[in-house]
Formats: sequence, C-alpha cells, structure tokens
Amino acid sequence: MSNKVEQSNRLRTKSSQPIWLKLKRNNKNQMRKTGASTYFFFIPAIICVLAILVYPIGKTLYLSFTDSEGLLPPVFIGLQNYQNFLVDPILRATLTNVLIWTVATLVLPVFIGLIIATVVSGVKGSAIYRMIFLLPYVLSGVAVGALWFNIFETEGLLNKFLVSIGLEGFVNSWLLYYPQNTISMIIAATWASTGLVVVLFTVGIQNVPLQTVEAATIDGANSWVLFWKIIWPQLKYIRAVVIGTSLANSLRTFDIVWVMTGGGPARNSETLAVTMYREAFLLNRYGYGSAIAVFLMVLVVAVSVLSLRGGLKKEATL
Amino acid sequence: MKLANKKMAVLTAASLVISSAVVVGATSTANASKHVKVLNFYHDKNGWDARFNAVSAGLKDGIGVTLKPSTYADTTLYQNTLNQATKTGKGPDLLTWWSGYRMVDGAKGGMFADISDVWKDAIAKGDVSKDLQKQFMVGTKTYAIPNGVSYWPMFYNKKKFAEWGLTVPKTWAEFEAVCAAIKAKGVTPLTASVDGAWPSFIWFEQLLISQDPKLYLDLTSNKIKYTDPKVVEVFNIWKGMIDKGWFTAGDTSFFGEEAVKLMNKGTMIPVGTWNNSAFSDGGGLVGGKDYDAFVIPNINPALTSQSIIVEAGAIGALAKGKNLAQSKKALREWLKFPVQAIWADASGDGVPNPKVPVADPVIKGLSKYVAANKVNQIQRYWESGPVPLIEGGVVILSAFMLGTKTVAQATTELAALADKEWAVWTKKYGK
Repeated sequence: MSNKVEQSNRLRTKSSQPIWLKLKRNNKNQMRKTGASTYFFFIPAIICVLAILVYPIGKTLYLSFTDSEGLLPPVFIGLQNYQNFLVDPILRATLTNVLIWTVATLVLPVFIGLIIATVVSGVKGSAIYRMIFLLPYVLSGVAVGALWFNIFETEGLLNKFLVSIGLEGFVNSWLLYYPQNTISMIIAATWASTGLVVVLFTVGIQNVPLQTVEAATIDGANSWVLFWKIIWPQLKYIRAVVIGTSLANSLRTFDIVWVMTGGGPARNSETLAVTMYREAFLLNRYGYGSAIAVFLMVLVVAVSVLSLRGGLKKEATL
Repeated sequence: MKLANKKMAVLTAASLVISSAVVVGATSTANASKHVKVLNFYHDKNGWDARFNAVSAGLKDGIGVTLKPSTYADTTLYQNTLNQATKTGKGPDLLTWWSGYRMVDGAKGGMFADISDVWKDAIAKGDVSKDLQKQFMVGTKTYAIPNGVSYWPMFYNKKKFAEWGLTVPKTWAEFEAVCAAIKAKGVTPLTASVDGAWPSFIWFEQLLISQDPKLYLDLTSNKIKYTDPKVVEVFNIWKGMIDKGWFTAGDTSFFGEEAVKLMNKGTMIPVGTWNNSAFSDGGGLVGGKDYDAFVIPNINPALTSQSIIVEAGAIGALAKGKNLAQSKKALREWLKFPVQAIWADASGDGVPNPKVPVADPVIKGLSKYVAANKVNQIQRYWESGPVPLIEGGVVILSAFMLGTKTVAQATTELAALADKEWAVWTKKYGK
C-alpha cells in the first residue's frame, strides 16, 4: 500500500496535479494548434489499419452472408451459413478438439516453462539453457509439424526406438487414431512453444527485487515458500501475458495439425481453423468458410480479452 | 583495267548483296530470338520442373515459345491462387488442372479458355484420340489438353516375385494367393494409405471396377446408391482384405523414395504410371527387369474383359491471360509429335499422341497388354463426381480403411453425402 502512495506521489507535479492529466491537456492544446496537419500524419497509419485489418475483416464478414464459391458472383443468403455451421456434425468434434488443445497447450507449456525458468534462472550459464529451449520456438509451425510427423508416423523414429529397446508392444500408429493423434500433436506444439514461455517467465523472475527474496530467506523461508509466496505473486503480469497468448494460439491452432494429419484421418483431429481452411480453400466454399472464420475470430477475441482483463484485474487489486 | 574495274564492280556488288543478305538474316534471327515468348506456367506437380523444362525446350524449337514453370507445393493454395488469377488475369498463361468434374467450376467460372479449335486441328492431324476429348469437355466446349495419360496398374518387384516363386496373377484367386504368399514372407503385400485422405479412393475404385465396371460407372453417375447391395458386397471384399492384414499402415507414403523402399521390400503398389520414374530414375531400378506392372485381375470371373483406371491430367490456358494466342499455339504444339516424344522420355509415362513410340519397358508392356486384351479404360474416381462429394467421400473411405467406420456406416454416410451433393450439383448446373 505504501508503495502505491509513494508511486502516486512521484507522478504528481508541484501543482499537485497528476502528470497524466497535464499531459492529456497539453496534447489537446497541441492538437488544436496544429489542426489539420496533425491529422494529415495519421493518414498512412489509418490507411494501413483500414487495408490490413478493417478491409479483410469486413470482406470476410460480408462473404459469410453469401454463398460465395470463388469464381461465380456471390449471392446474399443471410444467416444461412451460420445456421448450417451450428448443425454441422463436424462442429462438435472440432470444438472438442479445440477444447483439448486449449486446456493442454495452456497447462503444459505454462507448467513446464515455469519449472524450467525457475530451475534455469539460478544456474550458471542460464542464458545458454534459455537459448536451447527457445530454439524450437523460432521454427515455423510447418517445420515443427514435418519434424514431429517423422517421429510419430507408423514407420517413424518413435516406433523404431520402441522396437530397438524391446518395447514392440507399444508400437502404434500414433497419428491415425483419435485422440492419440491430437495428443501427439499437442506434444509437438508444447515442444515448440515452451521456449518462449521459459524466456518470459525468466524475465519475470529476474525482475523480482532481490531484497524481497533476501528478506524472505533471512526470515527462514525455504525454496517452496520462497517460490509460492514471493516469486509467484510477482509473476502475475507475465502470467497474464503468457496465458493470454497461449489461449489465442491454441484456439487458432492450424499449421501443425495441417502438416501432421491434415485434420484427419476422417476429420477427427480437425480444429476450428482447419475446418475453416478446408471449407473455404479445399472445397471452395468461401461463404461457409468465412462464417467459420467469423465464429473463430469472435471466440479468440472474446477469450483473449476476458483472459487478459481477468489476469490484469487481479494484479490491480493486489 | 576496265575489265578489272568491271570485275571489281561485280565483286563489290555481289559482296554487298551477300553481306546485306547476311545482315538481313542475322537481323531476322535476332528479331526471332527477341520475339521468343515466355509463357508463365503454374503447376502443383512437385519435382516435375525438369519435365516441363524439357517440354519448354521442345516448344522453343517448334514455335519459339518457352515456359517459365512455377511449382506450388500445396494443391489447395495452388487452386486458390488460380481462382484469384481467374478474376484478375494476373497469373499464369498456362496451368495444370484436373479433368472431368473438377474442370466444371473453372470452365463455368471463366478460368479456362475455350480451346476446342486446338482439339479440332489435333484430332484432324491424328495427334490425339477423339475418345480422350470428352474428359476435357464441359458442355460442347473443350478447355484443356491431356498432361500425359497414366494407367493405374499394380507395380511389383519382379526379382522378389521370382525369388518367392510367384507369377503375375491372372485371376482373383491367384491374386489372393500371391498376397497370402507375400504376407507369409513377413512382408505386407499391398500398399494402401489414407495420408491426405485422397489415396483412400484407390482401392475403392479398383475393387469396384474389378467386380463390375458398370457398377462403378453407375455409382459415379448417381444411377445407383452407395447402399446398393452390389456396392456393399465390394466393401465386404475390401474389409476381408483389411482384416487379413494385407494393407500397409494408413500413413504410408508411396511417392519418391518411399515408393522405392516399398518396392524393395516386395510390397505391391497400385499407383498411376506417372510414378514410374520414381522407381526407374529415383530408385535406380530397371523397368521390366527389377520391377514391372500388371493389370489387376477381375474379382468377378464372369466378366469378359479386364478394366484399368486411366488418369489424364489437364493443361489449360487462363482465359484472361495476357498471351492467350501464344498460349493456345503452345497447347497445340504440345500435342505434336516432337513435344510428346520429349514428354514421354522425360516422364517415363504414357502420352496421348498415338504416333509417339513408348520407350519405357514397363509402360510399353502395359500399353501392349491393354491394347491386345481390350482392357476397359475407366476414368479415375477423383475426377468422376462433384468435388465436395469426392472430397467428403475420401474422408469416409479413410475412416472405413482405419476401421473406425463399419461397412454399414460407411455406405450409409456415403449415400447420404451423395444425395446431398448431387442435389447441390443439379441445382447449380442441371443434370
């Protein structure tokens, strides 16, 4: 509490007015003075936002209300695509997969990343370890998918390894049956994404003030207590970011699935993004695919906003 | 002196004429090389650039046009790129596509230029058979030329067959005996795959035509349903083969090096003859000596002739392409003897021009067998129905192959899908 007061005082000027308020007023005055020329400099940014963000979203939204199939002129069909999607048998399977992906890729990279970051941050040469863990993250999803496909395919490295150590009984067609194919792909995704989590948590841990750790140590706190009572609470911001990005990434999972199974066999490993891609680009049902894209976009934005707001709110109340 | 002057004048005049002729000739040559048109050529055939470059050299010799091939590794991306190019006209001059039903959307939507005149001339000159034309027609117009003609026989390891005391099967019973014998050697006898879903139609179409080609044709033209007892019977035969463990794992790849590995083990591979070069060029195997191919026997002994699947890929011209006249000229040249001979040599596959002698021993033997035994040549399943039906169908067939759907489930779902997609098709394009 005292820290907050101190911080607040620092942000006040001599005239006892908060600095942000003063800056805001100054900006307004500045804007009035400069007038049209100020807005002129906004134009490139506005054009970029319109072209890169607003137009594609608007076009997708428009197409979602049509029967567009690519070549022939689209016909407006209202909410038909959305109605069809809600009764499409694939929706249930797809949403189940998305849920599995979301839970797994939220828990596994965060959990494993936190353990690695905690262990590595106190070790000599931790930067090298961090770099090693970060390496898979710099690979594209396609490369990760191709690499792990070679491991999990029936004639792949995993089965060969199992045979070599006498575990023939465990040999399996990992990518051909559900849900083991989804689990296999989650393992690949976890391998690829944990590195970034390690780096983010390491940054968080390094920003924990040394004095608080020393004070707790002097007070007799063991490693467990030190972690949960001192470090963990101070990782809230980082946690919110990690969880937010993990959630968004898991909801829109596409590349690894497309490369490793193509959403199959028999569409049993499809995620929402794969279903959207299949309908729009494989079957040329752009209208229907657009409706799925809008559904996915709303879901990702809603979950991300809720997650980030939740995470940051908790921080503010501390 | 006068004579000398006269001679000098004649010589000077002659040398001027000669040098003018040389200059004119050189200029016209330079102009011709300046006018060599480069046609952008998009395709999704990975690893085929060498073949297309060889064709390009042939086209250059014939009409002074060259190709600039661009490969798209992802077929879905490729199709969508061309959908965009159809609207804008910015993209390729020439492109590969698929024949049959897969051409219809593109033809109706303005992707392909009408090249009926190219066919008319090619048929008149005997460069292509009229029978082949219908695979590239939508309504009364023709929109592409064949990109090779591939049979779908069974490739097998000739040396392994000899080592195991096996001979090419002539009847279904013999075929089953061969499979059982290979299995007994600890080798999976038959290649099957659901990798990418599409390979699941290979055994489906093959068993249908081996049972009754009319059944296959009726099914693919929506005259009978997938729940028809005769179709169900074929599924049961297929299920029996799956249960015997005759097929490779569902994620088996049978292209390039993987095809060679399968061949070296002794596993038989039902695949288009476009994959022939994987064994001969890539694998270093000698066709006719190390490996060969046979037409899969009929299941139904009452049939009087055998059937084989034939695939004819398509090459068309973008309707809004900048160099349409040159593109059509190139397509006509492509069907002529010199370019077709180049293609046959580069691809190791069959070509549509009957004047081109087949050099590859495997394709030669196969073509000879097909002609001598009047083997029915039947269009591939992939091109034999509306795209959403085929794409949805291979998903269900994949599930059946993996045992996650029973015969009853698979046939019922396929029938429901066919009803739905044929209704959409009929509404869109009529019957």
